[in-house]
Amino acid sequence: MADEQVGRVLGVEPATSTEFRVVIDGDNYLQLDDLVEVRTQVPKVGEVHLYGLVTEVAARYEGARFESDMFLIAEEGSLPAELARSASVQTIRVDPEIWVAPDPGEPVYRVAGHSRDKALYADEMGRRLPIGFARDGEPIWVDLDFFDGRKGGHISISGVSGVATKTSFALSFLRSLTAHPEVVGQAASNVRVLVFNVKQEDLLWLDRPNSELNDQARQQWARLGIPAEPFPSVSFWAPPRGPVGLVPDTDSRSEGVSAFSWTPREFIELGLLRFLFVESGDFRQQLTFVEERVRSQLQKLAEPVEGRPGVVRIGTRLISTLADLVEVIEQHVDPEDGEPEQSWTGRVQGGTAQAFMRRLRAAEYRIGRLVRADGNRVDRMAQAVTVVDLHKLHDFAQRFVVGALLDEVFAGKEKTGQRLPLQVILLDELNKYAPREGHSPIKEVLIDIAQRGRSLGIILIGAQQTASRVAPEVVENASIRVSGRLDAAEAERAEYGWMLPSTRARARLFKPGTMVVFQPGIPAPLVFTFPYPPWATRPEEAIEAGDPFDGL
Amino acid sequence: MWVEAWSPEYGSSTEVDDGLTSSVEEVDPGVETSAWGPITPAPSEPPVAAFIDGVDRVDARAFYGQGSSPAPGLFGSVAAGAVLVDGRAAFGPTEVQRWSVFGADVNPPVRPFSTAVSYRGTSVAGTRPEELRGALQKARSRLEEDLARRLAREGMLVIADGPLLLREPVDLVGYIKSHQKTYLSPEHAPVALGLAPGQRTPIFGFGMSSHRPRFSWYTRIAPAPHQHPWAAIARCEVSSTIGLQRAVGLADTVTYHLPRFSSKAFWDTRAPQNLVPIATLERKLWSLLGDRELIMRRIRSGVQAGRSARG
Repeated sequence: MADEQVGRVLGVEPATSTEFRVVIDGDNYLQLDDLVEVRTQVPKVGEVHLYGLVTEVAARYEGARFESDMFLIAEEGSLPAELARSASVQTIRVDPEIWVAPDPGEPVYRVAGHSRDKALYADEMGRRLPIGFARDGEPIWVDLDFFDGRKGGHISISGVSGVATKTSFALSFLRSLTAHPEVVGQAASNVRVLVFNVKQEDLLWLDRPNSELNDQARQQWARLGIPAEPFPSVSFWAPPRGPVGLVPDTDSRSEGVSAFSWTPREFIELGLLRFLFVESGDFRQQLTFVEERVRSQLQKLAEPVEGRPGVVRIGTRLISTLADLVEVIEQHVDPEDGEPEQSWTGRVQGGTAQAFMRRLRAAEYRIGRLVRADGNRVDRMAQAVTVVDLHKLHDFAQRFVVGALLDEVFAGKEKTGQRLPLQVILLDELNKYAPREGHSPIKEVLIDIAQRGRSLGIILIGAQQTASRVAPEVVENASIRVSGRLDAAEAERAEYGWMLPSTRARARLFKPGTMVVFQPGIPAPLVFTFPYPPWATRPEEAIEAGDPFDGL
Repeated sequence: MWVEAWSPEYGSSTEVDDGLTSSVEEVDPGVETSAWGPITPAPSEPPVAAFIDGVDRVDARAFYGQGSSPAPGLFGSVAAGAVLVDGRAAFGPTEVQRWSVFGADVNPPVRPFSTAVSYRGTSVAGTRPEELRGALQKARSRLEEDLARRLAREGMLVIADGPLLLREPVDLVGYIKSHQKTYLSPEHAPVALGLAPGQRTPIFGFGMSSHRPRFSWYTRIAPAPHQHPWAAIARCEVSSTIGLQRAVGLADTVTYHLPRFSSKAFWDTRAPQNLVPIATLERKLWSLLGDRELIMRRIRSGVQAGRSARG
């Protein structure tokens, strides 16, 4: 295909190696995010190719000096003027790496085929996974080496709730990941994805086809090499509805959804007590200090009960519910008749012990149904994707579940020391779990994952409305940054330093489905769109399995 | 050959007069009508028109020859161009020429200084600066004439900045914005001064027995309160070879449409007579001549190189 000339390098002002302007041919156009190429002859070197990204476009009348000249030009027709359209281009690649400015007047070409691959560093990507389409309608890729831990890991997704389509992007990325084992390579086998569903029951339909998927979207998925089908292997988990029986507490779907909970024995052995003290004030108030004491006492004193695997005995007392456990703890920490036992509380003041008990009782009310003798832990290995529904849980209980599961993943991986199979975690509202300020056990686990997960094979896809409210260690360790629509003030923050000024200005105008991605292999943010999901995102969209009208 | 070290502006800035202002020409006020009063043309469709202008510039002054009295010369650039108006205004054809002019009938060979800067040689008999400059202005006039002829033959109404150049019977109107002399008698002049925008005087003839007989009229192109009486009044002329009837038609068309092209005081220092298309064209033509500093440098180094080559 012949390269399409779109204009020439402007030399009215200096063209530089990093930025230059292009005057656009009268019969062509350039838009934001278009990729262009300039070939310039450099003495002693030969031809140097500069690839760039259009960051702004401009149009003006040359020869007009006053604003009112527009009337003379366009209305009166008395003033001749040349319409000049130009584009500002940011260099994103120079090949060979001789950093020179392009010669003014050199033709500028729209990239296509080989030159487009060059501009996008696709020729240097170890394993390129398609994630969507650039403005030119052609696919763009993410280098998996920067996702799965080889050179980098983790994805951080930011954007305003509702319109930024953070979760949709994360899922379409995961769909691409699972559909391209040839790209993913060795890591493709047995990838496990843990997804937390925090809003509505949106993610409880990942295994069902979307009735609103149109042909255009189908073709787009096909062009990305991904079958336009729902996730083939998903398990769904929700908290149990009540204290008795394992009926999942969901509204729109109960079939295929399992109820999860922990037994008192697991609660004690896994030390889950600490995930009941995750508020930022808990550390200051020494509650975490008491919690550590209590946790180790429980671990020391709990004995298994024959014939009842989930139940433990502490002293003479059988513990089969969280209420039982709280009562036992109370007897030691804040007994009705007597002093707290120092082995349980340390030397904290009486008020602290009471505060600790108040919190425990509140916790019992909120998560009591998650700890029971017939406990049934989330089986993260059963299917490729495990969706854990949290949306009906109180904030407090959500944090408990997230903390418990993340800890389980991390501890498990630490124990095996194997990077593969990869464990991917998709967690929205990261600002809640790893806030910028304060200490909490969940934040510690998340920072651990962000810093060491890469080598352990735990990859975090974290999403948040505002990256500036998330612990910097978590955001900074994400090799791949993605953003949808941003609040205007948020876009100006340092967390989005990877965006170009023009990207920031536009980020507040992004439509749902339009996002910008930055990855270490390409020194420029790329705007892209991804196709409409082939899986249902609402009960109304879900096509029932075996629907008699299917295919009509 | 030697290039004058001084910038060319320091040379003579005497303009060669074009022979129009100094000659005494008889005026015939009764060509169109004997009833002298303002004429208001009826509305008409805007014509497809071309505004024409030219510029000339001395790029460098030079001397040729050894001894005590070398022949003086100059390197100069001229350009002419058009703005075409058909509903909207747009730049039309333009042309740039560069000439070297030497006095005392010397025409030394001048090699191109670069692909973009190349001078054709010509000579004049005299040696005075204004004679050299005159040759340059003649070159500019030729460019303007050629362009005017070409566009007029294409059927456009051509409006040239300045007095008339052609004697051919084409739709060419000379637009004269400054008044070096009054062609009207004290009896008729008040009619011109009393014109409203969009009105004209009756056509008068002048130079009818000369080699360039012309029809002419005055028109007001904009209201000009608080200015001297002749402000905003322009004179137009056409070759009388087109005949009176065609001249009246042109006068009416031009008078009716010209106010649209007048400029405002903030817009141009020669407002309102300096027409918007012509003022814009002039700026463009100046820019087409290229940067004089740069051209002067080319000429100096080129001339020096030529001298060294000859030893």
